[in-house]
Amino acid sequence: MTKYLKKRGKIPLLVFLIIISFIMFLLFSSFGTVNIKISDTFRILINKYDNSVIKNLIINARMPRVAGSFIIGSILAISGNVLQLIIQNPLADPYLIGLSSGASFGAVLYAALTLIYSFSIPFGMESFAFAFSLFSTFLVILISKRGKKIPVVSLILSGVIVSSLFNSFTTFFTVLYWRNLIHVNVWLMGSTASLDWNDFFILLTVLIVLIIIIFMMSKYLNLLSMGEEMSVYSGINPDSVRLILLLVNILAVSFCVSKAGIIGFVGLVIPHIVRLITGPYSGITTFYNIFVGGIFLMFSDFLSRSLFAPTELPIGVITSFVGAPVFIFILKRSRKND
Amino acid sequence: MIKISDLNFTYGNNFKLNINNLEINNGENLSIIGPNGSGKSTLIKIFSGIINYYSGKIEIENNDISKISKKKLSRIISTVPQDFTTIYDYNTENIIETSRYPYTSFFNLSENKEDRDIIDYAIKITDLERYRKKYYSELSGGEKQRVMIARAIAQDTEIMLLDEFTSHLDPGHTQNLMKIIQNYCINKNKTVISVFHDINLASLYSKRILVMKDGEIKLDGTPYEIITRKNIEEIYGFDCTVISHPIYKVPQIIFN
Ligand SMILES: Nc1ncnc2c1ncn2[C@@H]1O[C@H](COP(=O)(O)OP(=O)(O)OP(=O)(O)O)[C@@H](O)[C@H]1O
Ligand SMILES: [Mg+2]
Repeated sequence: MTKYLKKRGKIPLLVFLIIISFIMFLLFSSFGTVNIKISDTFRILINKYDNSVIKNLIINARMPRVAGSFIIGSILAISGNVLQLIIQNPLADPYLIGLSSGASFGAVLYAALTLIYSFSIPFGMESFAFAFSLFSTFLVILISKRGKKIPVVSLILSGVIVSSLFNSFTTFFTVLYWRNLIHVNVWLMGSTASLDWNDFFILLTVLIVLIIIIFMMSKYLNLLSMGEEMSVYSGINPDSVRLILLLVNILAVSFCVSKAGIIGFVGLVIPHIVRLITGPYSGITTFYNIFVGGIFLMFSDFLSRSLFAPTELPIGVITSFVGAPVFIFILKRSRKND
Repeated sequence: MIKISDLNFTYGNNFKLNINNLEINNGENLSIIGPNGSGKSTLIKIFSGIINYYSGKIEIENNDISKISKKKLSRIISTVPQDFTTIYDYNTENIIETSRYPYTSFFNLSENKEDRDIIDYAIKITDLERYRKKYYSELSGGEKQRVMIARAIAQDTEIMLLDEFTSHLDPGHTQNLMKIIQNYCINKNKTVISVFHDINLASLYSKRILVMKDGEIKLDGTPYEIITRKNIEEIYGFDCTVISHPIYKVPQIIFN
C-alpha cells in the first residue's frame, strides 16, 4: 500500500504540507496588528525571547488563535469529507443537516433570554449553541429515519426543513430585538478571535478522537463511499455504520461551532480539493484534509484580522469569499472532464 | 441447500413478489428467465440482503439468512447486480479488492498473499489486466460488468447470484465467462443462480430453468420442459421457432 502511494508521490507531498503548516503557523503568529520577525516568533516558541509584553501577546493572544483556527479547519475538512462520502453527495457540507441553524437559534435564544428577559443561565452562549446544534441535527435524523434506515434524500430534505424552521425563529428574534443581538450575529458569521489555549486543547482532543475513530472505521468508510449496495455485498450493515459516523462527525463539528460560530465552505471545498489529489478515500485523505483544511483556515483567520485592521471581519465571510470562487472553479473544471 | 418458503414482498406499489416454496440444491446451476418487471432482480436483492423487509423465510443449510450476520453472509453469497455505479472515482482494482473484506478483520488494512492471488486470478480471467488503474466510472458497460464479475469471483463464495451478468458482454467474453461459471458448479460444487434474458444461454448452460412472471414462479423445470413454442408465447407473447442445438441437443429459439 505504501509502495503504491510513494509511486504517486503522495507521501512526499504530505511531508511538504506538514512543513508548510508549521511555517504558516509561525508566519501568521508573527503578523497582525503588531508585527514581529518570524525568527523572533520562533525564539518565543523555544523560549529564547526577552520582551515579555510582546511575548505575552504572541503566546497568549495570537498563537492559540492561529493554532485553534488550524484545528477547526482540520475538523471541518475531515467531517465534510466523511459526510460527503457516507451520504453519497459530493455537495454535502457539515452544516447541511441542520447543524448551523440549530446553533444560530441557540445563540440568539440565549442572548434574548439573558439580555432581554434577564434570565440567569449557568452556562455560556457557546454551550447553549452546542446543545441546540445537537438538538437540531437529532431532529433531522429522527425525521428522516425510516425504520432502521436513513435514506439520503430524506436526510437532505429534513435538513432543509428543520433548518428553515430554526432560521425563521432566529429571524423572528432578530427582528424583534435586533439592537441587542448585533454581537450575536457577528459571532454567528464565525469568529476565531476569542480562542484561547483552553479551547485549543479541547479542539485538539476532539480532532484526535475523530481521527482515531475514522481510522478504526476506515474500511467501512471505504465501502460506504462506494454505495450502500457495495457495503452489503462486502458484509457490513450500511445503516448502523452510517449512523455512527454521522453522530461522531456532528459532535465534532458542534464543538467547532460552539467555539467559533459558523464557518462555511471549508467542509465543502477542502475535501473536493483533497480528492483531486488523492482520489476518493483512503487513509491518506484524512491526513491531507487535516493540513489543507488547517492551512486554509489559518490563512482565512489571518485575512480576517488584517484586511481591515483594527476592525475584524467575521472569518465566515472570508471563507465564503475565498471558498465560493474556488468551488465554482472546481465545479467548472470537473464538468469539463465529464 | 437453499430453501425459500412463503416469501412475500412489496415495494408499496402494486408489484407483489410471492414465492411459496423453492428449493435449490448445492452445486446447481439455475437460471431465472421472465419478462421485464417480473421480479427477478427483486428476488436477487432480497436474497443478497439489499432488501430486508420481507415476510417469509430464506434458509441456507437450515439457517435463516435474516439471522446470519452481514459479514458471515458475505462469505456465503456473492452478487453481480444488474447494474452498479459509483459516485466517486474509484479505480477498478479498488472495487475488486472489496471482495476480500469479508475475510479480513476490519482493523487490518493490508491484504495477505491469498487475497492478492485470488484478486489477480479474477482480474486475469475477466481480462481486466489493462484496466486495473482505470476509473470504474469511465469504463464501458461490458467492462463494468466484467469488473463486478471479477469481484464476485474473488469473493469466492458457495453461492453466486448473477443478475443479467452477460447483458453487456460481447460473445467472446460471454462464452468464456459462462464456461468458467459452469466449471465452478461442476468442479467446486458452487451454487449459481443467474438471471437471463438470453433464453439460449440459459438453455445451454443450466439444467434447471425458473420462469418468473408477475412476481411469481410460473414454471420450473429442465430446458426441454420449459423452452417450448407454447410456453415462450405465453410468457413473453412472442412467436418463435424452437430448434435443437446441433451439438448439445438442448432447445434453442430463433426469432420468426
Ligand atoms: N425500488 C423500487 N421501488 C418501487 N418499485 C420497484 C423498485 N424496483 C423495482 N420496482 C418494481 O418492481 C417490479 C419488479 O422489478 P424487478 O427489478 O424485480 O424486475 P426484473 O424482473 O428484474 O425486470 P428486468 O428484466 O427489467 O430487469 C417492477 O414492476 C418495478 O417497477
Ligand atoms: Mg432486473
